[in-house]
Amino acid sequence: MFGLHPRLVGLVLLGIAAVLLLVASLIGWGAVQRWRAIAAVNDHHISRLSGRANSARDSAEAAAALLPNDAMAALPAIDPAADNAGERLDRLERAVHPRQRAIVTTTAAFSAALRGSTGAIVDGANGVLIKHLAALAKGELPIFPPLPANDAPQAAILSQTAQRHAAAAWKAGNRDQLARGLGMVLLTRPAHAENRSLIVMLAALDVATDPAQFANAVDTLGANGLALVRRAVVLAPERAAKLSALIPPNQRTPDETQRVLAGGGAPGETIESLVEKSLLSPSPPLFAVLFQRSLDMDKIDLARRIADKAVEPQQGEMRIAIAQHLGDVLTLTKLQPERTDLKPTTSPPVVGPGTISFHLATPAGVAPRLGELHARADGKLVPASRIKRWGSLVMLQVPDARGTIEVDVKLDDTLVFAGRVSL
Amino acid sequence: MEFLKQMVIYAILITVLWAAIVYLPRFRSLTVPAGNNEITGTEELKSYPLDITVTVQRLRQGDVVTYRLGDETDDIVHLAWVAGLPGDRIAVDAASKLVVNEKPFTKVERLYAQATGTTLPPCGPITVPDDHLFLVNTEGKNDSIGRGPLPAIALRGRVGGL
Repeated sequence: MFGLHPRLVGLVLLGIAAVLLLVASLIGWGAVQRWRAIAAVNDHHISRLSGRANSARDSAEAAAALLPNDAMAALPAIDPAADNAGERLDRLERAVHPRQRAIVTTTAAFSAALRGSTGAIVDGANGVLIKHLAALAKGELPIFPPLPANDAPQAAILSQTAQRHAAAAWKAGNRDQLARGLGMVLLTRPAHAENRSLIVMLAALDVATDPAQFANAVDTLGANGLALVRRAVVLAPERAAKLSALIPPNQRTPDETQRVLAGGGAPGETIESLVEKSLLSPSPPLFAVLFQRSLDMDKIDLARRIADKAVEPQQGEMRIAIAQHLGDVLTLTKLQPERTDLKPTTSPPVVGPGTISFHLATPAGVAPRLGELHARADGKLVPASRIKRWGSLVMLQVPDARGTIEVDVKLDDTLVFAGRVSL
Repeated sequence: MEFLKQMVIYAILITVLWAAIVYLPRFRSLTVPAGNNEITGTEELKSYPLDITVTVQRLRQGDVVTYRLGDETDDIVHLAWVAGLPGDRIAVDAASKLVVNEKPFTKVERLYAQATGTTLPPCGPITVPDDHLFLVNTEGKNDSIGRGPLPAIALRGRVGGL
């Protein structure tokens, strides 16, 4: 062939065949490596879906070892929050195919933002989130930015930004931003280890939710649940009464008990049990609320027990309030001897057929309800059965009396009326 | 002439092979196991067409899909409606209803947060991440309400006839 020695031709062809075989082997080996890396990446994703973190990490490391210069295989093995992430991502960014560079650049910027430093400027939804992350890392709390329409962010960046936003809002005590952050965490990671806490906190901050609906959830959270409720009370003061009612009565502070009472009390909790507990740990503000509530419910015994335990000047005020509530003018006079407007007196009597009616009250407006009324008409004692009382209104029934008669009325020993009445 | 005839035969064979590779996977079916009521409208033990070639980009809101969670085998069947595609905005409103791009997703009347026994409080919105789907079913456990946006790798196929 062409004057060449056949053996030489054979050797040349053999050499070419060997080179081609070597190239084919290299291509084949590369394909096998690529196939193994893809399988490892798939294992990584499946392990993550199964919640097996260690297995996911091992698969990611295996994929990265097989294809160290391929973004899809190498990125899962890089923890963006790790200290060496920047260095690894820089190396990967230089090594990857230009087609894959954008995702590595985005991951590098994300990693930089997580570590509080400034990375490359990234466009789109990821860029917006990374910029927000960087602001959060500086201690700022801007409102969560709207993402560009039809531009989906990376799941990890969205999830991490939502969590950091919620954490920053929690620290700052910003209710609206906290609800926004928690809501996003709950939707992006509903299986989060603290998901019940998220639900309780989010429901507590939402004015449309009745706290009684998530009382059971608070119970299951134990001490953590109470801490959440207490934080929610601070963040949502207008719901403080209802939220405080979620705290078990024996674990409430006096302030919390006061709030619960101010809101009408917790469901199923009696005033008696609240008074018993308050007597064990006296607190003037709590006493004030419980005392007033006892009087409103006409539970004078409870009010007296609180007054006995209270200290001056609160105790004196409470005793006056009890006497006033009972219409106990004599006690009021004893308690406030300097007052001249506590002497019972009557309005001008009004005469009807066989009846004499008048109002009995003090100038201060207290209608005496305690004490016995004694009346004499025309020199004869009016039987108690013929003295009718409705609050301050008193009616004497004197069916036998005629003409002008002498009438005198006493409250216990105090003369409240004496005069002539024409029937 | 003989050469042309051979070329035609080869072309037909290649076309048949290509059609088999492309279309045969679309003629697979999915049998709904007994006791599965993850979405309304399915009948137990009935087979439905299953297109395993479908990708996230070809799905539409309201499609019924089946998916696997983690390393589950094929005999475990999860069904759900596609509520949100990448870039869609998802939220839960004050009535505990799912809202997608400001419009209510009426397939599910009410969503429940599992384990707590309480209704899901209003939350969101979030933007469905790239290469993820927001899937919901009537149980609210093994879907996006229980697990968050699910990655495309979880997708087994689109279920037809529903």
